[in-house]
Amino acid sequence: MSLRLGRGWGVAAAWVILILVVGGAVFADTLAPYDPLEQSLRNRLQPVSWQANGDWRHPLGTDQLGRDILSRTMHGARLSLAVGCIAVVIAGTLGVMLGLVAGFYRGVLDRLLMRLADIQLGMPFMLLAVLIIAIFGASVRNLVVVLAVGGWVIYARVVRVQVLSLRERSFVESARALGASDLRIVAQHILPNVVPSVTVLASFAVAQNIVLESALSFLGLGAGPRTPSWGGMLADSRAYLATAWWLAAMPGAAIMLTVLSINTVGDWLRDTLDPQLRA
Amino acid sequence: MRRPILTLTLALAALAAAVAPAAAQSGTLRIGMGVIPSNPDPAFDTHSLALFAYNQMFDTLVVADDKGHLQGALVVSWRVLSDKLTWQFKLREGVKFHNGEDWDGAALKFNLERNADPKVRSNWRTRTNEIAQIDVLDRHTVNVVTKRPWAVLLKDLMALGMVPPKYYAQVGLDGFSRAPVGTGPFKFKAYDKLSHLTLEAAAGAWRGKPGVAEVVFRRLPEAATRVAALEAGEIDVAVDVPVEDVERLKAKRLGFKAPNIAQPQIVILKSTVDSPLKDVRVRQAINYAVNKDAIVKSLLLGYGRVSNGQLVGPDAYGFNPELKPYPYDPERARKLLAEAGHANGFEINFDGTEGRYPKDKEVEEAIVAQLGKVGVRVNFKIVDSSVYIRDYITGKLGPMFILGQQYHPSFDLNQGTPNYKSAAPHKLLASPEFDALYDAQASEMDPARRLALLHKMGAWFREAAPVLFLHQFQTVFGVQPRVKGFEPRATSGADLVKVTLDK
Amino acid sequence: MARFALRRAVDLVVTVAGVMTIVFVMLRLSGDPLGLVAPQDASAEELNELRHAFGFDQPLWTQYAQFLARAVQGDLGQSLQFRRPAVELVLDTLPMTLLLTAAAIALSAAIAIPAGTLAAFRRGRPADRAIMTGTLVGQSIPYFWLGIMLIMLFAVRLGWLPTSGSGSLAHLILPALTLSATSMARTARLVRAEMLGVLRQDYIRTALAKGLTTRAMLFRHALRNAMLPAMTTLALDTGILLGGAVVTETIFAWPGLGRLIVQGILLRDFPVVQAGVLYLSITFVLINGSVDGLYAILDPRIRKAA
Repeated sequence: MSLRLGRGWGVAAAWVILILVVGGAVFADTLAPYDPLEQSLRNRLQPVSWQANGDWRHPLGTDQLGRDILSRTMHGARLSLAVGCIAVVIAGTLGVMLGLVAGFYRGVLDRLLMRLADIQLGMPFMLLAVLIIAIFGASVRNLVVVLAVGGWVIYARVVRVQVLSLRERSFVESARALGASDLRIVAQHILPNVVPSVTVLASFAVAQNIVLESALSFLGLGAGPRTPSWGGMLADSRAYLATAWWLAAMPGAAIMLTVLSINTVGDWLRDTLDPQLRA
Repeated sequence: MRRPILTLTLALAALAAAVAPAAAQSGTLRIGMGVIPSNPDPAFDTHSLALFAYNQMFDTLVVADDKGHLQGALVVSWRVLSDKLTWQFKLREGVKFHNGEDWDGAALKFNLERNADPKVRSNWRTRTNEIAQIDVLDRHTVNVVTKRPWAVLLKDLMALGMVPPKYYAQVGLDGFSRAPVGTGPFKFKAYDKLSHLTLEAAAGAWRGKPGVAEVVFRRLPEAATRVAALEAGEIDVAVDVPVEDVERLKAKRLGFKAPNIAQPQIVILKSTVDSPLKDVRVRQAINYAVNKDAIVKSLLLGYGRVSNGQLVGPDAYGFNPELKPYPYDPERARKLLAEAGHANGFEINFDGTEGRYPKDKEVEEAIVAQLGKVGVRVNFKIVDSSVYIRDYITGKLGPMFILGQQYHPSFDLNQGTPNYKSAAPHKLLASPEFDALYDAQASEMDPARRLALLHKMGAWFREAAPVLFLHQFQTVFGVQPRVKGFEPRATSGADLVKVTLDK
Repeated sequence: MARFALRRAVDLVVTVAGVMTIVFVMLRLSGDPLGLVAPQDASAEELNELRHAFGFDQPLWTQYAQFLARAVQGDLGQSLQFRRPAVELVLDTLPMTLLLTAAAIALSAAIAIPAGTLAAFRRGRPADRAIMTGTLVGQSIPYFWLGIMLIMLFAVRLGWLPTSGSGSLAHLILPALTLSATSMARTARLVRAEMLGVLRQDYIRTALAKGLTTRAMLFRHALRNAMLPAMTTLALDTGILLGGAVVTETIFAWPGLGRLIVQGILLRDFPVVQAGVLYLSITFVLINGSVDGLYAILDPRIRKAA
């Protein structure tokens, strides 16, 4: 009983954090205390306000160019959330559809799709990302493209192997014997069973994409310095890890809290939507 | 269930205990730097850190002291004959390559020809373009004839490491790069392009007997790792330590050296492509709009100096003491922009680097913000360091882009300036006036008159402002207390012969 | 079995050929490597001569035909940057990358599978919470941050391990740990989710009813089922890690293939990229082929179906 209550509070807290993060991102222009690009070279690397030399005018301190970290974290949420979520939605939809088709129909279609997946995977993600960005240039849109292109395969493969196993199961066979159409079998009997894995993969991928954005920024292939993002802030902080910890800690904490909330809400959604699992 | 985790933890702990850092091998100087030569053959890497490594293994014809005066090395003396075209070189006698081969006139001729050979594709190939003919008069006297009077011939040749002709003929280009041989105080031992270049002390080198038995140049591309390796005592010298770390590390009894001044940092303002930068008033406005003092003081923490509105520092031949920096004057910048018809500002592309020059990304972002204040909307993007020079050569950067204007090792204003000529593929500048000024100084054989011409060229450059003059940064070297005699120079290198290690 | 192997061999050739064609075309679309072979102060005519000498002025299909003709003879060209045969460069660095990747995957599997299983069995209890928090941290941390932190702690502060470089087992630990973090977190979560699903299945309940002990049941039934998705993601991670080691290689100055290829792409050092991708894709296809084979062993239903 206490567990349930605890879980309920956890889910509520997760929703609150998500709403705060999304709200902060949407209304960053009015809510953020400073322009995220406004520099002050004289006030650079100011520590967080509760430290000895802190200043309440910059609650989370300032960065290597004297920009307000709170404002940058709020504005950074925009790019990070957008890039993380949009890429996951595109990659997830594509991957699950292809995985279902491949696993259910098998044969030539399956082999074709799996070859495609192998070809795609044969070029490791980072290389594909660098190639695409080398051709089309670094921009937010290309970043989403890169992450979606790199992301679909894992859904396709995980879903496919599950479908391969599911379609031999008794409840699928009995549904088929009763004359259910393919679409109906997939939608009613197979899709719900792949949801747990897909939810885990997707909630993970949002986090993964935010982190990948920072790895791409590390290699100079991110959204670019004019657009504040959590990944970019993290990448920039690496020269100051030993001298100014808060540069990395703030975007890092933002990523972690967001990921935690997405995961919690994801778990809750899955359990709520799937009566079979709740039983 | 817990057992595997426990086992692994124990295994890791045991391993960790077993491999605690081995006691430093005495006699090996370990230097960590961001890049090591991409090839041990001195013809193939022009990076200043590559030159640092090459200089321990190879000798050049002449070297420059810290004031830019030429000193003999493999060539001890030289004079220009009355035709103004013929340079007579006297070679250092008794010098042998590490394989026993003699350094002589034939070797000099071979080296200059090898550099010019298109099949070799030396990165210094253009440096021998002005040579018409090479005559070996005797074993230690060579006449080099230029196509036209060429005052900077020796300075052009300064970067060329000399290699032994007979050995080279034996092993070929490929074989040579696997086991290079020179005349320097250290000889080649081992090389792995992604991790290290190892040299060992050579016997009987004319520059003297090294104080250490071995030198290892370790490739540590990430600054944080380089600093950590220094802190952990894995390396003796860390080249290019982030300035923020200096105070923290001083508390750990590590030493720091910052040679006076190194490369000038500039931003090229290309006037060869269609953009507002074609107007000289716009280029001057950009120079007024940027606060150079704040950059040096706040971002470089004082490890640098503001450039005097020219491409070289006071240590160079051709430095014009009359020239002053553009003052920080945003009002004047706005006025100039308005006069040029950009009262509402304009948009421009700016290409920058990250990790190529000290604090480059921060400096670039500061410039972007300061230009924004006078209405110039800058589209700034980072170009990867590994492609930067390539895109620079082929004229793909810009119209605004950051650059380190190298004038070492020759300490001569001439060194970095051929790229500004109209015919250069870099497409930085297209000015007949500048072309004439450049050719005049390069072919003026009288030192005093040449200096005056260089001053004139510098003054023209400041007014025409084809670049945004920023600062000269200092490269900070972190040094373990046991290292003695390590004296880095402005060329971001040091002569390692004099270095010794305490026990 | 012979038919299975033959089909796998055909798949391998098709996949590798597909990868190579795509990489070849994309590389050429991204520009030419001229600045790489020219001296810094080259003139425009010199650049044109070089462009011609290297054949970069030829139509794409001609270049591709020449590449194929040479590749079939085992000649993948010379690195423009290092002036060494590209294959030699790749073979120098590939073992280092494989070593790092294998260590990371092994570490990931060795920790994630037991941890995920444990979490599922202790659902909602402190052990579960602790493990899930750990995975959360693992998936929110970028490689370079974790890498630098591990160096600061284990190499600088504690002095247990070397900061960077290669040459001994000790050098491998920190980069492998850094590289495995994300994959470890993802696999643990996946194993836990699968396990929770499996534990609700009828046959597990039946087994429980028959009185099997928890531990024996776990190994005989549940873990085997939960392994499928775990193995799939781990195999996929191998592909990702093979190339994703770029950042880790940079931080730890690890002389691997990842950085070589990425730098090759940026510099348009075509031969190095082509040779590197060729070897990586072969490795990857082989690994995935073996994993598919393992499925069949683990799950008889698939064997019957395939």
